[in-house]
Amino acid sequence: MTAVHTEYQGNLQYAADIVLCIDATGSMSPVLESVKESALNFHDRLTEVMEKKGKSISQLRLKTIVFRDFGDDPDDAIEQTDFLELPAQAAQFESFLRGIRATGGGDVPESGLEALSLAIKAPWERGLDRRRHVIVMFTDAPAHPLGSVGVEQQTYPAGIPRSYDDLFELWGYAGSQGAVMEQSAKRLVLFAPDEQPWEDIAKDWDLTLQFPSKAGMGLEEFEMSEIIDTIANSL
Amino acid sequence: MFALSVWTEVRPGFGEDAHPLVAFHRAGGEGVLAVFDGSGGAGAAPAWEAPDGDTRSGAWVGSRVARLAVESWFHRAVTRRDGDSPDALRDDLGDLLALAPSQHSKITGTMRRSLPTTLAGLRFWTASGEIRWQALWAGDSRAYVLSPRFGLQAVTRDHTEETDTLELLRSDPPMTNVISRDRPFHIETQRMTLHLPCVLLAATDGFFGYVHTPADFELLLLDTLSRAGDMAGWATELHRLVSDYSGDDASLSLVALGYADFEQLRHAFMPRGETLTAWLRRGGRPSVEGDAMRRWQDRTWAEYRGDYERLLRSTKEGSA
Repeated sequence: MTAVHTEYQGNLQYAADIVLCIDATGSMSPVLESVKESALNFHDRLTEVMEKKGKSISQLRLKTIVFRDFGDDPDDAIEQTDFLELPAQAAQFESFLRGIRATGGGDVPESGLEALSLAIKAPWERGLDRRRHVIVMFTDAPAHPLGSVGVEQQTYPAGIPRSYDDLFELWGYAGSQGAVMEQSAKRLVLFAPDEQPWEDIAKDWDLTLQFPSKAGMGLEEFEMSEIIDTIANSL
Repeated sequence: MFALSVWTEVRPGFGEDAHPLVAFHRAGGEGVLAVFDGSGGAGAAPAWEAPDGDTRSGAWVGSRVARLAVESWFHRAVTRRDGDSPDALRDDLGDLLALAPSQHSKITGTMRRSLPTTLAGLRFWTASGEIRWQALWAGDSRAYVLSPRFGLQAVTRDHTEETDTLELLRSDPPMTNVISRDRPFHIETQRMTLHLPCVLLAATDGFFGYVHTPADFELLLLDTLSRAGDMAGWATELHRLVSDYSGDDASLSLVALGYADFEQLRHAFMPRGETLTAWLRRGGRPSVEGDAMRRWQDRTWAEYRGDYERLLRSTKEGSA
């Protein structure tokens, strides 16, 4: 026999799809620019963190879902992009992010669960090996119960589950049949307050990480580098 | 008995595998080998500030504490002849983890664990030309029997929802059972008796989780054995190669029982190594990822898995 060690090396690369759900209501104003800047640097930062862990990214796609409140202004309650591949589609990604303004929302709660539903039902990568499907929720507010606000509006997205339990089924759990998320790939990272529904989701759904924020106070207590590290570690 | 252990870390000083354990009680003719892989994702939060001022993660601390627990469990078992059950080991792990340093983390969620680590080990007894072994594990590190006739045979099944070994290589899924301070866990066990001579080993996924096909790990073991002059040389070769190809910290502990000397051990595995090398090269190994690689992986795994999984099937009967 002869040394064949270069043949041993398998696939060390991860295919990462990340959906950023960003609360763009008025109270997020102090932190929104920081979230946007971090998102713009996401590819470089994630690559750097993964290299330190001895791993790399074979494909990085980012999808952004901006949400406000169907109870306040249904016309700007949801804005979203398709999955954009970075760095190839960085200009399109940047253009969308630069256009996000923190405005409206009225009183809490906001329409975060609609954004989470859209994220869960996103067209995730199914072909590449070592897939990671990560949803990252940035919000400082509780969310309306599904089916309670805005359902009758023309701008309300089609296919949104009508209850928390239905949404849980879509997220899935070990052995579940109705899940649309892949059990081995999915992760949910919440930068959200210890209020409903986020508290229950972090506690009851599998494969979650939560950085609790203070309701109505933005996310300013968190360093974005820590957030990036958390996402990288979740891979 | 001959033994070796190999330990590598990707980031110097911060490797989340504990040093592998190999211990043998000569008077009783019994021993233990084990590996421990701190879970970096679930245990990323800082847990302990070392005297040098650097902070170590919960995964780093968890694997070290688990190693200490297994070593003290084995010591008690051979000296006092009590408390050697898997449940007693689980209790020891829980007790020591409760005493270990850990900082409060503001991160919560079901992925997070306090001091999370895997364990895969084999306790063994030798007598009258036979070896009795008991596999003990939690998580996705693995224990194996290596034989000249059947090659590498897994004796543990990963605690993951997916159980197909090739799919595990492709998906690297989360664990469903892992040792930690703050969540319930269990130690799974299997027992069997085999004839000597015999090679037993345990390894973390840094060794077997970054190859193209499950048979590559056996090829690595036999290729390095064929070129070594003694156990230290074998360990050195394994260390060099795993550092080269792996994307993770890696650790392995191994014992060879019933062989007169290293040359007899090396010679016993030569035919198997040559057959394996020729088989893996037959038809050509694709050089890049893609459809051809997937077909090659599917084919080689389909042909290899029968012997690889034979002890997982036969442990139900208790011998093979």
